[in-house]
Amino acid sequence: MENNTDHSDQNNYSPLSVQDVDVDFLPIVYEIIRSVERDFHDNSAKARESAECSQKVLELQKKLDIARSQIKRLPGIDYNKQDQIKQFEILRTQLRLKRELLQKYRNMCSFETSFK
Amino acid sequence: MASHLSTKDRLLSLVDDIELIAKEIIEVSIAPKSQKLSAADFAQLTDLLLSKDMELKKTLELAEEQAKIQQKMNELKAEVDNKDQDIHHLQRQLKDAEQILATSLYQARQKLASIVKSRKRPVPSEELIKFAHRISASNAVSAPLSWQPGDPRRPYPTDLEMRLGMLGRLCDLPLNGHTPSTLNDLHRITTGGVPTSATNQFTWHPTGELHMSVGGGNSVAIDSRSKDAHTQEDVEVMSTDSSSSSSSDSQ
Repeated sequence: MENNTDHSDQNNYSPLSVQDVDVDFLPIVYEIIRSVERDFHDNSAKARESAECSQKVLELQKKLDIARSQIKRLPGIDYNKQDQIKQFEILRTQLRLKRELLQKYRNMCSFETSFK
Repeated sequence: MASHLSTKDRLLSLVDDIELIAKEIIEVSIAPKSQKLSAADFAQLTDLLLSKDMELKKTLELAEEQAKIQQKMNELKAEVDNKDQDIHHLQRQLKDAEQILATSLYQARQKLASIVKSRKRPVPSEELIKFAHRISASNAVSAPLSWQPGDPRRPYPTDLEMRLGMLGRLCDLPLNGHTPSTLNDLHRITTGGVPTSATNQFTWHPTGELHMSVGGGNSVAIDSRSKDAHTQEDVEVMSTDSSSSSSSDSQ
């Protein structure tokens, strides 16, 4: 268990792309419902189906947990889009101001050589 | 509604919602027939699950856009940091230049001031040369080039001259039991107390002996080394005496 936690902690630092996030929950839910609804006459088949069903429930649970940890690793979603764009604008303004400052330093008037 | 929430929180809450709805659907499907929901309610639950799934996918698309913006932001940040470094570098250079200029300006002003001062009170070079002659004639600045042992001309005062000076006379004052009350007294003691014939009483000879001129020009050689040895013996004897006496005192 501890190893797993460490692993997930390590993973939390590496960014992930959206394509890597697995959010296909509906097929598993569908399979679970279908196996519950299915009517079996044979007891052994029913028991086997029940075991498979509980397995799929566990699988769904695991998939949900994995999706959560994957979402936490997605970059740039710590703010909503409006705030992010605001920050982007702030950064752009900063960069512009810094460029202007540098230009000002470079084009500073040369030394005055007017001696009395 | 959830515009103030971060995209991450929205995604996580959507996953929570999907989990809850899916659990509800599964629980309803395995419940006994008497407790089962009506088909309409079940359809509603399913629709809700589908809408949540759709919303999750849309939010993921938004997350993808935000990831792209984040990448641009990272690039911007890197560039801002770069500019920051440049600015710091330039500022440091400007500061150095300012300091150097301020120092040289200060020195230049000092020089200008001294130039102005010297223009106000010009000193003719003849006078300077005369003064130089005057201070070097008495060998007060440097010994003559032809100086040899025995030559009394030297750039520093001799022991005797030191004793004749004001400091030397000050040391003698407590012995006389007379303290000068005024500056005039002190001046009289230091200048008039000793006859001028006493100057240059001791002279060095190339042999290394010390001669003292007495009265009409005769000189008496003094063996300083033997005398030194004698006084040293005396000192040793005295020290042993004192140690013995002190030991006897302690007993």
